[in-house]
Amino acid sequence: MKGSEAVLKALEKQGVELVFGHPGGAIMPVYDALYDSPIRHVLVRHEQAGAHMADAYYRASGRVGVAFATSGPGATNLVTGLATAHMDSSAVVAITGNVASPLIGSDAFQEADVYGITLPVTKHNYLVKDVNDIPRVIAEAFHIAASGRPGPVLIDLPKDVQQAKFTGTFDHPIVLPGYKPTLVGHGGQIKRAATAIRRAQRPLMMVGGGGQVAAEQVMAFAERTRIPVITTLMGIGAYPAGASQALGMPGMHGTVTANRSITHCDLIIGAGLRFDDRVTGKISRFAPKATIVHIDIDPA
Amino acid sequence: MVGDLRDVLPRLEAEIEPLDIAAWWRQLNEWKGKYPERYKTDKPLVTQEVIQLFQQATGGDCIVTTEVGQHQMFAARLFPTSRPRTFITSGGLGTMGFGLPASIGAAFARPDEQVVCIAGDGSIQMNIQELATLYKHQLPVIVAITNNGMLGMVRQWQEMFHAQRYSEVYLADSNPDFAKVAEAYGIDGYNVFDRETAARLVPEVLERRKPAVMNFVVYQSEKVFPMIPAGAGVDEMIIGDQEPEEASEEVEA
Amino acid sequence: MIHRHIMSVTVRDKPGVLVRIAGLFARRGFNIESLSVAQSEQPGISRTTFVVCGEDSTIEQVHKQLQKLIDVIKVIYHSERAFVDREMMLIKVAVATPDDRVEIRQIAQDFRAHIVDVHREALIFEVTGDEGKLRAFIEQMRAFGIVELIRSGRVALTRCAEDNKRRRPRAQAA
Repeated sequence: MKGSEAVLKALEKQGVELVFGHPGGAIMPVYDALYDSPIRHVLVRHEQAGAHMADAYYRASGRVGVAFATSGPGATNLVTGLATAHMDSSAVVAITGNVASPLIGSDAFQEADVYGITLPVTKHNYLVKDVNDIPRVIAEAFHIAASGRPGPVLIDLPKDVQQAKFTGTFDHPIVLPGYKPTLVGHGGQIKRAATAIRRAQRPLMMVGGGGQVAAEQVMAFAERTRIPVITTLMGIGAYPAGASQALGMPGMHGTVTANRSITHCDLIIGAGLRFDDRVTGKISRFAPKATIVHIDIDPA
Repeated sequence: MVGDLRDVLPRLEAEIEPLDIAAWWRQLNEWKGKYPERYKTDKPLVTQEVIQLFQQATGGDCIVTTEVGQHQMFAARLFPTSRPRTFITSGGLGTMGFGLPASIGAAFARPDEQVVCIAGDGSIQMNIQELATLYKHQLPVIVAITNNGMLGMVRQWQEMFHAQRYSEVYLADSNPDFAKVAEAYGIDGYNVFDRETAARLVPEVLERRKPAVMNFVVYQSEKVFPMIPAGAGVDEMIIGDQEPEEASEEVEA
Repeated sequence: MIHRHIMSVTVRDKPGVLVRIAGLFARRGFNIESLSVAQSEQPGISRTTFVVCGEDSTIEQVHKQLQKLIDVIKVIYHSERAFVDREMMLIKVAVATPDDRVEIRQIAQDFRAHIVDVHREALIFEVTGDEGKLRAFIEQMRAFGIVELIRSGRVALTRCAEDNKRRRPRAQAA
């Protein structure tokens, strides 16, 4: 088995059914392996569009979106798509071919420092140097992309690594000592939040993109508490727009009711949103009378 | 509080009784009653109407993707969907060119859903080559271009904050005939200039469940309100045309 | 307010880790004054110490953003009393006269600095100590003429008594 075939096999093991991509010289071995794989491929006409398709695929289904591109211009064309996914916390795994390892850094044909270029726009990225690392890297990439606060992960594969003989194994436990997202809330904090909520006379719930996975829980909470609900641009759909408790979208072009309610409320429960500047306007004038209970999977 | 909403919300809910906030709701309902979505139709076809036609024809029971700009804001306000993972838009980065490929990605993810892509004439040209991908896979996506011949959002800022110095926002004199472009890609294309045709065609085209591009030529100088100017607070929002008026040419959405 | 902040970051010894951390500081407008990195007592794990200069109001968020990086295992933000830090310096001092030589050597002895290179016109000293000591030695040598100096970057470890306490980040005067 060659590295390129190991790539496809590892993707199959992740349950990938579909990838969006555009071939090129540096990723040809992977495309050759794709020819025999049950994984479907959608040929795009611009790699940026491929990244957006993978991004929307995730947003619409909750399954990690996968994009392929070749080296140099193919990979740099992904950047806008990766940055988009990064800003909106979307789980995308992008796989790019690169020139053979000895040529890296020599300004070879269709070469670019993809690892360096994508550092700030990905949740994490990899440059694979050892063919036997492929299954571990792919398993880690999917795990990192989809867990905690989701985000795009890029895997750069030099051509010689794709062509090398694979002698490794496929079942790897995920060992990431530096990555342990906090999923379970702190009991004491929950009790304190509950106390604050009970005291509120004019409470408000704001739901953001993080609410898309928790629509059921949001609905149940809103029903029980009878709290008014605002959905940000990224939260639309996480709480039904037509519900009687819905106040609409807040922010720069938000509804009058939503914005007024923010100004006059005394408590905001922020569920899965990041209080972006388009939502808050000038921070010092945002919800001046309110205590904010901010629930989010991202501690930063 | 750091944690997964699916863990924290139910635990929080368990600690709370239904809240006694009738007075607050009275105030909120008063505002809701005074400020429903509204826009004027005493002019040519407007973006808001086009979007509402789609909302009415689908009942909001579809997937919506948007490009970036005024149409994006109107879609969020007038065409919000009610199920999770059905409103797909580039919020954080605001990437023009996202909507068309996103509609394709979403269609592959949820093959049983109708997908509507709300686009502007500026944004749609950024990844227009993907009409080829749309054609090849015959996905049930309607690309609704609200064509005001302008980079609308930038124009709005220039009108409101830059003394109407409309620098580099004019597209109308070099936009292609979008229906012809669609047809060149093998996709059904429609140019729509008036509200009667729009009202008739939207449900018809949706019914066909085939890829289609509908180019709606709309009023150039529409503005999105309310608006909080950059650097201003939420309490300083400009209500603009959302303020109720005596004039009866208004439509309440 | 702009202050100097010292952070010890324990990381997985993988390519690219430093670049990510440096990139994060740069993006938030923090200048890296000194940086040292080397393997720790655990295989595959390195310990880095950054001394950065930047806004107090952003340091807490930078701390959290660092913690989020996949290859970062732990971030410790050092406050004034809770850590031990050292830095090593090699400093080449000009020797103009034999009297100067005597004086220089006496001062060096007081600072417990070692001579590591001898020449008629200059001497190189190795000095180890905390920030204050190195600064003081440099000041003393300035009178004679400093030809060249290089510093290794500060390294720091939390004091034993602080190990089980959690501190909120506080600024240290620059």
